[in-house]
Amino acid sequence: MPTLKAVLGLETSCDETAAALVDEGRIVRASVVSSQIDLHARYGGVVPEIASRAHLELIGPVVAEAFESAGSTLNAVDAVAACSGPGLAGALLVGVTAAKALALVAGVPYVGVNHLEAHLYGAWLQNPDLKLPVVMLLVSGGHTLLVAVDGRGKYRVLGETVDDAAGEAFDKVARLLGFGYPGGPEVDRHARIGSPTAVDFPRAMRGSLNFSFAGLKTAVALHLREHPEVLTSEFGVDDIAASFQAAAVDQLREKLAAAADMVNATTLVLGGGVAANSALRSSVVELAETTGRDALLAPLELCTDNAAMIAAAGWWRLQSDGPTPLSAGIDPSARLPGSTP
Amino acid sequence: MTFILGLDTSTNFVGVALADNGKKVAAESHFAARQHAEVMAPTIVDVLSSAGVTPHDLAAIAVGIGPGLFTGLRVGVTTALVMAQALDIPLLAVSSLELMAAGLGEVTREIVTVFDAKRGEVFYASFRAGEPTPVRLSVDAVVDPTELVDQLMARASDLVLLGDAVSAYPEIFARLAHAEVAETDFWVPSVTALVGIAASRLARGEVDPLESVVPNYLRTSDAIIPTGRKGPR
Ligand SMILES: [Zn+2]
Repeated sequence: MPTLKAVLGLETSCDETAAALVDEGRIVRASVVSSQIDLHARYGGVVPEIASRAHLELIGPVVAEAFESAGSTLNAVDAVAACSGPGLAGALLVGVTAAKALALVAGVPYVGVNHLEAHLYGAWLQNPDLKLPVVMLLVSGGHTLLVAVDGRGKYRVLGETVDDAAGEAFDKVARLLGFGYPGGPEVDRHARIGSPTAVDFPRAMRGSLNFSFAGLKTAVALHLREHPEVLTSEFGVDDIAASFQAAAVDQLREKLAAAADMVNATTLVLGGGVAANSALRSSVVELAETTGRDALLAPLELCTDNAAMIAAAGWWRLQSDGPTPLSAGIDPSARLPGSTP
Repeated sequence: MTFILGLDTSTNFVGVALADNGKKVAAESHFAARQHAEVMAPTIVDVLSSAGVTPHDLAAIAVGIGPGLFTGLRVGVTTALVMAQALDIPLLAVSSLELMAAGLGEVTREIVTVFDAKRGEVFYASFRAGEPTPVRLSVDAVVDPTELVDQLMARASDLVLLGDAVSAYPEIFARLAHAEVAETDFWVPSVTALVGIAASRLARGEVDPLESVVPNYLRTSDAIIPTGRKGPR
C-alpha cells in the first residue's frame, strides 16, 4: 500500500454530523462536530427522519470546515473513512455515501468503520501508549458496553445492557423530573445539589457484568407516583436526581471494577456521552487510584461522537484489512468486530 | 469538451449518465431497491471509466432532486452535493417527475407523472412535451390518488400516464378510461434527459447554489412519526 498518512473521517450515526482530519491514526489536525441537539430537543429524543435531513444539509459545510481549519484540501487526503454502523440507517447512509463520493473524487481508498471500535480508538487518540490490557466502559444514549481490549482489533465484550442504554436512563429520568433534553447534563447539575442517599434506589444485576437500567427508571417513576410532593418541594427533584445518579453510577462502577479484576486490567478507560457525567468521572478516578490502575477519561469534547475517532480507527483498519469496496453498504446493528460475545 | 455527470436515485433505480456537450456518451441504470448506497458509487466509476473520463474532467454535476422515496433520494443528492463541492464545479438540480416526463420524448398529449409516495398518497405533476425541457403544467405535489383522478376526469384533453402509482392504485387510475399508460420502461426518471436539460441550463448560466440543493421531500419531517428509540452516540 502507498504511504498512508492523512485520513478524512466522517461520522453521522446519530445526531452529530462530524468530520475530522487525522494523520497517522493519532495526530488530530481538525475535528469538527455539528450537534443537532436543538433540532431534536422538542421531541425529547432523536427523530431519525430529522437527523437524516440535517446530516445531508450539514455534511458538506462540516467537511469544508474541517479542511479549512486544518489548512488542507482533499488532494492531500490518502483515504476517506466513514462510520458504517451501528446507528440509525438513514443517518449512516449520508456519511457513508459522502465518504464514498469523496474517495471516488480523490481517487483514494474508502474504509467503513465500526462506531463502537472507533470509540475504543478514541482512547488511543488520547494516549497512543495505552498500557494493555485495558477495560473500557462505553456509556452513551445508544450503548452501554464493557470491553476488554487486548490489542488493536482484539476485543472481548464482557458485559452490555439487557434493556436501556445508560444515557437513555438519564434522559428518561430527566423527563420524569421535568428537565429538558438532553437529560444527562441536567441530572448531573441537580444531583450536585441533592442528597445521593435521600432515596435508596435499586442497584441492578448484582453479580453479573451485564447492565440493566429499566428497573431503576421504573423505581424512580414509582417513587414519584407515591410521593408527588417531591416535584414541588424545595430540593425534591435534586434529591431524586442525586439518588438516581448514585444508583446508576454505583452499577457502572461495580461492573467496571469486577471486569478490571477479571482481566487484570492495567488501564481503565471511560468513553461515550455519559462519560461527561461528573459523578461517574470521579468514581472511575477513585476506583483506579484505590486499585493501582491507570485511568483514562475521555476529555469532554471526545465523550460525544466525533469523527477523529472514526479517522483513527479507519487508519488502523486500512493497515489490517485494506480498503472497503465501494459496493459495501451500512450495518445499522453492527456489533464490535473481532470480539467474542 | 464539457462533461456533465447526471444522477437520479429518487425511485427504486440508480441512474447515472455522462454527457459531452449535452450529448449522452455513457449511461447505466440499475434496479437497486433499498441498495442505493451500495450501487451508486460503483455505477459512477463504471460510467466514467467506460468513457475514459476522470472526475476531474467533469464540468458540472446534475441531480434528480425528487420528489421520491427519501432514503434512496438522499443517496443521489448527497453524492451530487459532495462531488460538486469537492470538484468545485456547478450543480444543477432538476425535478425527478420532470425527468420522468422528459424521458417520454415527443408526445402530443398531456403527460401526467404519478409516483407512489406510500402512506396512501402519490407524487404528481403534469407536463406538455417540449424541447429540451417538458413544459410544466402543474407544480410537483403530494396528493390523494382518488382526488387526483377526480380532478383529471374533469379534464377534456387526453392524457399519457406514467409512474408506478398506476400499478400501486390500479382501480383508481383505471377510471381514467381516456388515458394512455406509458410502458413501464418509462416509469423511471431519465438520466439521459437530465444531462441534456442540465447542459442547456448550464449554457444559460443557470446553476443552483449548493446550499439551496436539498431533496424535494414534499412532506415535513414532522409528518414522520418519532420512534422514541435512540441510536448510538
Ligand atoms: Zn457513540
